[in-house]
Amino acid sequence: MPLISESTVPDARVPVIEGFAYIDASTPLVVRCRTGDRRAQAELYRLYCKAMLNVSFRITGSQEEAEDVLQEAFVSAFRDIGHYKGESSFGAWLKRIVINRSLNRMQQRRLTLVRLDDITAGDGRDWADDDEAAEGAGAWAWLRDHDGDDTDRRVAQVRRALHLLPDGYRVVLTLYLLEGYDHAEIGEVLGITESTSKSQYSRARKRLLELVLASQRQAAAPVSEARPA
Amino acid sequence: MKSASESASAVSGTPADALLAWARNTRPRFDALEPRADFWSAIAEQLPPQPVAASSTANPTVTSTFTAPLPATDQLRAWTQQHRAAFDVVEPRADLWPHIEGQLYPADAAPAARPFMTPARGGRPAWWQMAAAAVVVFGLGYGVRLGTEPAADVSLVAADQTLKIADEDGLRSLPVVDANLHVARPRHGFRNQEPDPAVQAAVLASTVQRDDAENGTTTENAEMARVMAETARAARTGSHTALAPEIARLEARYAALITRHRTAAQHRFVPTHALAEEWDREMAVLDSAYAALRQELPRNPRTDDVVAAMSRNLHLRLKLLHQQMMALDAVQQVRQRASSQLTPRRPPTVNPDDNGSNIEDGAPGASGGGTLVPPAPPAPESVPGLGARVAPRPLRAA
Repeated sequence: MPLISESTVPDARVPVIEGFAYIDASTPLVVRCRTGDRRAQAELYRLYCKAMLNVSFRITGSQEEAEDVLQEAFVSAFRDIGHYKGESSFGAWLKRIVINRSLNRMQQRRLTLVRLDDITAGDGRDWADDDEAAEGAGAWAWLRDHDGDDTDRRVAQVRRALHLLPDGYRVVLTLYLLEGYDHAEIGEVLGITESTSKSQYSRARKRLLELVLASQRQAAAPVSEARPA
Repeated sequence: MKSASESASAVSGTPADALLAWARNTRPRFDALEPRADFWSAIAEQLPPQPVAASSTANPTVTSTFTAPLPATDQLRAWTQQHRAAFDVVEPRADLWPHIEGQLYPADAAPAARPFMTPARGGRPAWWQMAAAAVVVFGLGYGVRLGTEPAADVSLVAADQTLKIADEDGLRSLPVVDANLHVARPRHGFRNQEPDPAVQAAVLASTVQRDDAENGTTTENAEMARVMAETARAARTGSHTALAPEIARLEARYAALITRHRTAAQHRFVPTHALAEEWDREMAVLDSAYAALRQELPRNPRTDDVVAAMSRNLHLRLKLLHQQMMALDAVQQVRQRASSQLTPRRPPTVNPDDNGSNIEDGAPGASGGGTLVPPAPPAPESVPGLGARVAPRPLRAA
């Protein structure tokens, strides 16, 4: 039995719903953290460690690096807890630290196929081609139409496709699709313009759906066809 | 001729001016329509995103934009948000928190580096250090990483050992083991937390009960959970004199259950010496860990931790026995099935040469109605898939 279940982890991005303001469940812990309460620090770590590790993992693409980032981010957050003004949820603040540090790691690696400061470069292919866009639309229709039926497998396919993408595409898609950032926020984080973020997202989205479609076709191909004659 | 001001005054006194004054006074009553509740979401979708305050890595400050609803136009985004939880598949390593804590509080990391058998006050090692050494020897035998453990935490070392056995036997996923992560703090990085005794007792009780429900284990565990909870409470709040009878009750209950399981296991066929020895070895390690915990109890100020580790030790033994019984039952079913396929059914009186020695092995009672001697093994070819056969041996008597 996990001591902290998924459902107890406060969602950093829960909006105001019908007049009821979201109360950040971690606020009392943050207050105690400000006084140097180590138990509160451990509780906050337990609440957020998995979510933050996955955020970093999706950006860096490496679990080892994501663990390093997680350590750095929590140490930084607890040391600089005085800088947290409560303007956002603690989770959102912490997530920003994790994202920034993950991006720094990527830049240090210099493995970016798509440079973050010139993110429109793409990977040399023109994904805006009409036929390929149509393929992307087909993949989306496949994902949508089968929703509820074997969803886990489809989520896994999208996850794998995300990891096959060039770094720049993956980062924009991750931030927009999964972390709930809008293009202005993405532009601010990556140091690009909002319109660049939008165009990059559009291309990345098409590429992702194509990969998903290819994966779906591969899975659906009969064994006899897959074997060489 | 009237001046301009007089003209204005004359105008202000007209009936038309009175109408204006009335309209102003009654202005709010003209706002009879209420906006529809979904207007804002329709408007918000068309607005540009809210700008975010600049931030840096060292001092990040984020302006929340989360009060605006997500645009509904991007179906892929809606789909991923719907299945958001399924995208978090990586689990953090258990030892990350100690690293973080070590960086936050480097001064506290120093005691852990102290040599393990540092003599107390320059003389011989204290009794608990000797006991700790005994447990450490067992732990090292199992490959437990004890190099970073603090010297005095015998209970935590023993708890760690117990978890190691749970790992080896695939019992780690059992709720009762996970529930005691509070106790095995060094392994899981929460060394500096003081568990709430009430929470701990409740967790122990509820997890043992859920364990029963999920695994179909003994119903006696409900009572055990209660005894464990009471013992845990006594450990936290009472003196050692109050604790002693609770511990005695706990031990008595477990001893009875363990003995019963072992007696039942002795009626089963144990396929190999290696397996029986492996089971005996695990029980011996748990015995040893329990003895160390019991010895430590009167001296360790963290009584609740020690008692919780003792409870888990006993419960894990019961779980191991239960697991062994299930394995033995599975072996027995295979043997019975194989025997029934190879041996044609016949009435007992048909073959006059049958002297009764060819007993269907394995079935409880078939070898003599309650005797502890295990039945003879079947012919090797009658049990496919079990590999080389060796003479069966009973489990060590309780």
